[in-house]
Amino acid sequence: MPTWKGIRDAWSRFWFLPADPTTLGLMRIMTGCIVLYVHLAYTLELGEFFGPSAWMTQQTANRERLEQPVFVPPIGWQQQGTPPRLPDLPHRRTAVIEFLGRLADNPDQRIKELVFLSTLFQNHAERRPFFDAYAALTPDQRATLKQQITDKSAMTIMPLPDSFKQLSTDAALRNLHEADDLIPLLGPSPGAGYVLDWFRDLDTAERFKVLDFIRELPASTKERAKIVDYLDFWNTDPRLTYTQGKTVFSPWFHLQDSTSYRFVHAAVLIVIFLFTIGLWTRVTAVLTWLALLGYIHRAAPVMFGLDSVMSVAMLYLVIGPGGAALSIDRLRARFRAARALTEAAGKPVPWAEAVLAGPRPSSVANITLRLVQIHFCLIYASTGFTKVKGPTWWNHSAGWMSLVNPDFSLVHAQWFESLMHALAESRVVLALIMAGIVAFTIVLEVALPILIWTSLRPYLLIGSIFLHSGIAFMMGLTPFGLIMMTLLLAFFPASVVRQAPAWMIRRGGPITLKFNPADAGQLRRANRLRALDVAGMVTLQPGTIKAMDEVDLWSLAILRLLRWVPGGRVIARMLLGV
Amino acid sequence: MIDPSLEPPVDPRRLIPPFAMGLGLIVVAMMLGVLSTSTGVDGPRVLLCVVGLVAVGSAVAARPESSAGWLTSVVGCGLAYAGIPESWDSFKLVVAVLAGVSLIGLAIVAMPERFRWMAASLLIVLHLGGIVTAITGEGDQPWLFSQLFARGYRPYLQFTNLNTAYHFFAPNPGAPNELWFGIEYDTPDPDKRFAWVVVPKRSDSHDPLWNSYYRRIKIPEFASPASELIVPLATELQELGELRDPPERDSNYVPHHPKLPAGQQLLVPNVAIQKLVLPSFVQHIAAANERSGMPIKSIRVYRVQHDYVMPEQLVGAADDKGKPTRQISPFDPTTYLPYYLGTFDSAGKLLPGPDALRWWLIPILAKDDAAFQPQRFRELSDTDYERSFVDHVQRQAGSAGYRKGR
Repeated sequence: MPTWKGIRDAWSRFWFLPADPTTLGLMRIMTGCIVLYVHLAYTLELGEFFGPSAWMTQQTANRERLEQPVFVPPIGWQQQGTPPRLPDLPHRRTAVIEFLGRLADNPDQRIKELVFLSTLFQNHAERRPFFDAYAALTPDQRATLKQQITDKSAMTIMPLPDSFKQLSTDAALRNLHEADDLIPLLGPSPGAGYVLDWFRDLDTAERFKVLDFIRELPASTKERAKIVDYLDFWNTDPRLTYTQGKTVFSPWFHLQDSTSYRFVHAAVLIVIFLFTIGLWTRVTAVLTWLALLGYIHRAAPVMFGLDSVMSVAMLYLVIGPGGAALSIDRLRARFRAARALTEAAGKPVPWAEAVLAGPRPSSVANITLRLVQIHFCLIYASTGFTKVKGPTWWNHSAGWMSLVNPDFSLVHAQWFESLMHALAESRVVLALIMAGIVAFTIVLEVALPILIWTSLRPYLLIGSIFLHSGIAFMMGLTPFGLIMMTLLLAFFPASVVRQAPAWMIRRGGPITLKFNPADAGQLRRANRLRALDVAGMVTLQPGTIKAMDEVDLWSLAILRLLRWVPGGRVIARMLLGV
Repeated sequence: MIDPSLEPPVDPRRLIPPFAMGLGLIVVAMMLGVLSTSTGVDGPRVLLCVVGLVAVGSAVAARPESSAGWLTSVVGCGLAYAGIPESWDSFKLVVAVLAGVSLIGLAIVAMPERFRWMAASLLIVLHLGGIVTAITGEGDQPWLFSQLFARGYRPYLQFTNLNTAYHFFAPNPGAPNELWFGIEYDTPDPDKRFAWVVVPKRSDSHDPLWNSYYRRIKIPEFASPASELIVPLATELQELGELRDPPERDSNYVPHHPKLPAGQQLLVPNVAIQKLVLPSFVQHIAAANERSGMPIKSIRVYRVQHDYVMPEQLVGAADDKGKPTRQISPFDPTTYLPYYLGTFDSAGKLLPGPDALRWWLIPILAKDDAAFQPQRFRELSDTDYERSFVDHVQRQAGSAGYRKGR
């Protein structure tokens, strides 16, 4: 029987046990590269995706941002309100909206004017033709008709329908007066007919809903117009919404001229670059995340799965110490530590020794990695279980549809189309291949969230890398595949992540260097070398030599890497004098 | 008790300049707002607030264990909220969020160690609850999660862009779509009168990984009423049918697709597409395709469903009578089902007057003698194309959209 203490300890172990942040460092570099690439790719398309005349124009995007309706079901069992049904054809819809705009301010007056409409389509099919004919009469003709009804004289203007003939004189006249009230509201032809068509086409419940809506409109003309305009644009009554608008932001909602948005974009690229290399990471991570969200929020029509997953990765890199390893920040900390050690002149400096020994494990790093792991599992579970609901995954055609998808797949290449053609020649072979694709995808996506926590983890990681590599190659979604694999890194032990760069760095072999502590220049270079010596390959010995050995220094892998960076030799010369 | 294995924290005195500079810049932004009513200072005010907040944030990041730093951050955000002009209202949201984060940071730093464990656990549970709410947010959402989303998580998930259900290629791979825009210019030159824009188009991609192409794939999806099939009112349906099939048909009459059910030949876009999406897209196309001295007369829009080719079509399998059928390429013209969405002016407004074919499928059909290998399809000349297919879009628009736009 699990105890409260046991549960609490297990929870603490899972979430709060300090973890090596090196994995997060590698995730930062990969995420930074992908985010930087994506934003570099925007550079030639700023106006098309984010400018005032973008696919979603600035005006439209702002209207959506501020007005989009949000609904919420009632807390209790009462029914959720629904808006009145309007026509879909634009000219008919316009007529109905204009009709609603002509309603009287006074709700009682409004109801009075609509009495005839509310009964127009009840019981007698002949009432509509009669009303149409009556509405077409001139006011004088209508007066004459009423007079003839009052006098019970011959109907010379138009015949009355049978249902009228059974009415008393007063009732018949009342009907005509009610019709008189309605006629000016309906407006000129053909709009009047569209309004009547609309009302007739609604079923009884929908008609009552329309009448209720009209009755409950406010007396203020301005407020009424606002509601009707909202109904027209958003197809709902604003009073039925829980709230309106979206909690999104972006400079692209506000920037108007191309100079300013190029300036903002350039600044964003610089910030992302700084985040990628891990300089001032705590600040640049937040700025990169906000910048990323700003682009995503502005241009919904061109965003896809890659952007969703990039948001996930960036959020967690804001939370976690992504700059605590494999970063310029880390190098700077090592420089500070080396300087402190030198200044201490042989006395122990525990914090400096700790810094130079490697990134400090932290609970926040563990929390972040766990959050990434669980989020990844939820992504897989959601997509896997939803696929299980899809008929095309059951009948295996989803595999084929993915392979010949004209938008995504390689089928646009002639050789691939020919390959698909060759495969399709044999139904049996094709069926086996499609079954394999579908089974692999679904089994992996459904099983990974559960089995990843067992000893099967390595196999699932390999399977997942295989899946995303396949998606990247076959469907061209390379950045998406890379960002998913970046999240997958959270499942790799930090030791594995550290081994790869350490292997590369250690290839140079150990080096022993002498330096003269009395020479200020050599002392400074010795400090810097110790800071750069991330793999612990250099032993520094105080001595009396005149200069440090240039050849040996270049054998350090980190300096070899610097040679490939533009300006790297200059940096190395500035730092170490090599 | 200071842990000797930890690097000594930054001297608080070193943080005074960035805090002072940050707050100072924000106050200057506020003062600018008070002193000037011109919108010309809005941009500089935002810039001052952003730089000020970055300075304050840098100081907080340098010494995150300091409650004074977090408190200064809360104050800075409060001032920035006032300093940001109304015309940049969405930035006020960012500042409010930063203020909230600063308050949480302040609370966590100020509370004893054992309470931090509880606070962190609570935040973790709340966050993961939000992700589960987002994942269950598509389709038939359970009542509980719809409440949690609308009343609780919506602002958080929308702001962080975590309101995604991650239904990648699920429950089924979606049908590919295209948008075709037929632009008619007001010019006597017949060669320059029409221009076609097809979206997406691979050649529009500017980066080696085709990222901008994949972004454009999403654009037609936005104009596709896949999730909400509209059934028009009876009279509207009757009007649409009467306009589509007049009693007297002239040579411009566009026949129905002979193989598709009637229900698939008329697709009414929902109101969001009609009111929000199409006007916006048309305005964009008009702005992006301006030509000097040639005003845009009209823009025709087609939402084109690109059907998958199934294996039996690709190989030209025999029909039920044993007769081989035509082999169809994944890019065969007949796999495109163009639905005409109307003709607009450059401001995105529908041109007035009845439009007989609006929302109807305008078929592209193969002639009986259109027999060639699918691989050969791409090599077809215009003459061969016209000999093999009846392109009613071309007939309706007066220009060949399918081929000219790509």
